[in-house]
Amino acid sequence: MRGRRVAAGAALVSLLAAACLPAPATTEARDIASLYTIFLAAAAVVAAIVLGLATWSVIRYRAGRTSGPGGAGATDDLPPQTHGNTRLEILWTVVPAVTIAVLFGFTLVTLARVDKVDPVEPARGAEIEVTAFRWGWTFTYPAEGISVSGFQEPGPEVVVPVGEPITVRLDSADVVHSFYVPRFLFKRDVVPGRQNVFQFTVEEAGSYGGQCAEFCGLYHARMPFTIRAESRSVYEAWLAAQR
Amino acid sequence: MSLVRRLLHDPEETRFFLFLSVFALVIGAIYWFVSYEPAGSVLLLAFGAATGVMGVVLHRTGRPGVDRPFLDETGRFPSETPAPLAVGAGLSLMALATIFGPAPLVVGLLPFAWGAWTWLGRARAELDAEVRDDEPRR
Amino acid sequence: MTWLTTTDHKRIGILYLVSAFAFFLLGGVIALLMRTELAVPGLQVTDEHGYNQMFTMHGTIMMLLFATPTSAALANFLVPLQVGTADMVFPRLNALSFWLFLFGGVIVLSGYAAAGGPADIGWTGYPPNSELAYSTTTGTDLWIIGLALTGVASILGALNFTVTIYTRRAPGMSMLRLPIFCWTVLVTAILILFSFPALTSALAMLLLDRRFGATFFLPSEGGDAILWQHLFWFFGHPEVYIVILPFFGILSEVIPVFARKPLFGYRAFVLATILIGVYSFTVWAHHMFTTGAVANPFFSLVSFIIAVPTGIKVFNWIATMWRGRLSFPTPMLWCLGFLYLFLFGGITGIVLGSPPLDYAFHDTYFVVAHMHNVLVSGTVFALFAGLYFWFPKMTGRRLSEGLGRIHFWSWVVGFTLTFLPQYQLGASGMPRRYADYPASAGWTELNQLSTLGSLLLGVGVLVFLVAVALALRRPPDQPPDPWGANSLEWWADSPPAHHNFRSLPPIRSERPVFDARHEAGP
Repeated sequence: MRGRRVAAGAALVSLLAAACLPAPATTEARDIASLYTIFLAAAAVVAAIVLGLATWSVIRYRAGRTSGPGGAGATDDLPPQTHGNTRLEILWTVVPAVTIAVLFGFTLVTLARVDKVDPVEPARGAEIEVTAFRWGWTFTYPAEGISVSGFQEPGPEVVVPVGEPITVRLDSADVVHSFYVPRFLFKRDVVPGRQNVFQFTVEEAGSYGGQCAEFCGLYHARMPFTIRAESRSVYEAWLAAQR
Repeated sequence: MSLVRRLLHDPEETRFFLFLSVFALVIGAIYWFVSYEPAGSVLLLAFGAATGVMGVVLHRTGRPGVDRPFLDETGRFPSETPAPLAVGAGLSLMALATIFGPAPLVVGLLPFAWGAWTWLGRARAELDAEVRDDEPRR
Repeated sequence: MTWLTTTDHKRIGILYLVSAFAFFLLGGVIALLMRTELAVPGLQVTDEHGYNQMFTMHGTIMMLLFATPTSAALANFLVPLQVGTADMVFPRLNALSFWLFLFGGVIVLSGYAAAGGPADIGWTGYPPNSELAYSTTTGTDLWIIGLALTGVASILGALNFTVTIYTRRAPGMSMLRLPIFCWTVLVTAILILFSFPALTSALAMLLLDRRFGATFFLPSEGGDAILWQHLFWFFGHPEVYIVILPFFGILSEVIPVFARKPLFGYRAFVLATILIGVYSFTVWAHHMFTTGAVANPFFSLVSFIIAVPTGIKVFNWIATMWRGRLSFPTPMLWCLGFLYLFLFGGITGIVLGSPPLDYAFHDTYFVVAHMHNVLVSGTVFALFAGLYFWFPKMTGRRLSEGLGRIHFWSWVVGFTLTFLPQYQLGASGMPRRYADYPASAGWTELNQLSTLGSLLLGVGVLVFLVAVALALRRPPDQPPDPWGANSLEWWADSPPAHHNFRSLPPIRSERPVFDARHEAGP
């Protein structure tokens, strides 16, 4: 009875710890979400094994149960004084090592796909230079010669073509910021004196809110921006309207 | 070969530092070649070098011996003293001079100097007493 | 008055403990204020600047004025007793360490008296945001000076512990008969000796930038903002293990006592401790995966590797309980709480060690949940295990079992409610260090759950303080070895006499007091 309660409690706590990601909006986010699923599955197995073993030993080897008849008060009948077991110890070194090797393999594959930056094709996609400052963002489309800027709320809104690779170049005017769009499951720091470049492809038209993720001073919590993914024609109309 | 065997025969205390050193030097070298990043490489190699010095010193001096009269140690331990408090307060005040200009430096110098003087004087007296204690035994 | 002039390691240990716990209470009050602020959207308790100062001081206090000195406190009290000697090798240096720590802490806090208030740069103090142009308060300079002083204190203490363990062990106590707690203190001391200098130099450079016109971290003047992050995390990651390894040591002392068995796999445990220690020096840039400036695969691999020795420890603890005769007084309860809850922190650590996943979770509440999972249900749970366990040794009195159980369960429930919802908050995109969030974000309910849980944690601490006060009102009545324990400190009186031991048992294993009891026994 007590055992069932402990096990139920452990299961409830585990569920609380398993966080669900928002629906991925980009190709890269989809890769990251799949990787997270693999990690969660491995985590569930590990947690089940460890918590199961711990719970079993807590219930099974309570002093009241292991001592013989009337032995609850006898403190000096000692259990077997085992000091170790080489085979077991090798087992629980090798199995975790193999597990993390596999997880590392998956990590490397996903990392390569997420970090990949293809050369920009003139007819497809868009190239945006993003400058972060305390406390806002400037989005510049150098090829089109347009620029959208916003300070604090509600922040700038820009349009990108859906289904095409978008290249982002990050620069900071002052301190370290971080470009973060939760639905993209992605962020990259905006470091002064260093240009970071990354690419993403939005898979579904829609409006995606972003924000600064690296503490940058007084109004750090108030520098949002919005990326709206639209079809090619809507995107081009928006570009024309901005000029 | 004989060097390796000698190292394996070192006590755990020495092998501990030698292990730290070898580990840090190997990782430091790997890190340099995967990143060419100077700050981390310098830190790792410095860690390896420093623990290496410790390991070599211990290897040469051998096992740190237990060289004390075991239970009756009362005479060898310092009695209560305000010196550490004075030195600590003095140092803290002096450090504040980097923000507030020379005034805290001057104020802090007094307890620091007094504390350090008392501290060294006591330590010297204890060392002398220890030498006197040890002499009849030789 | 004699507390001001003492050089006795036990008294210095208690001074450390009381001061660190006072800082803990202050850091906890700040945490409760922050949780209250976040309970509903909008700013009610404070403004943005006040909130930024709160999380800066909360992080600084908890990491550097509470967790680090607490391990120094227990090590001070226990190491000479466990190795069977009368005091530390350098008793006066030991006292100096304590005073430098205390004055350093007071200087950090004195920022509250400065015109602009205390530091407002986060406990990680990333420049250029921490440069004078962006953080104008003198509180930030006081933060630098205070932390540098506590750093020096830690280094002096670490020297003292290393030399004491190396040269003052009782006859017969080889390194492989050293109590596990002392092994963890030794490895921790090595981490301190080689990681704190990186912090001290980074702080010195920042102070030079702020006060003397240097440009180390100012990219506009040819400096490098990333350099600080390298130096800070080269200190910062070993620091994480500085505040967890000694607490692993506490579990390894307590669990065998209440399982009535020796620690399973002593040698593997020592090796795992050393490996965790050395690997902690190689993983610093997993805090920098999103900077685009570091070798992500290298740091990901070494971060993953740390899971193996940590796993060995967890399995060794379970195997120690396996086929034991388990009893569950409060110290053991806290160990079990650690075992169950720390696991989630370990697992989410693996998640964060994978750079693509870190791209999603970095600087969100997922990280906040992870680190509190490791530091609260890890470090603080183990600290309470240790306090309930060694309180009879420190004071000669026992803490109430009943109040201890209330304290324990309020913390288990409080911890679960406070921090586990934060994993989901982070995954949903709530960044850390945000004074406010919009009502439309959908984060309100989880934040309220978290705030509710934090109140329970606060109540638990009050119960603990009551238990301490009640225990101290009674006369000391505890025998030298009230638990039937293993290591040498239980051979001395409770509390131990001025120079600790009148005699010592023969030392033929890592459990001399156990051996003596069962040779003389029935």
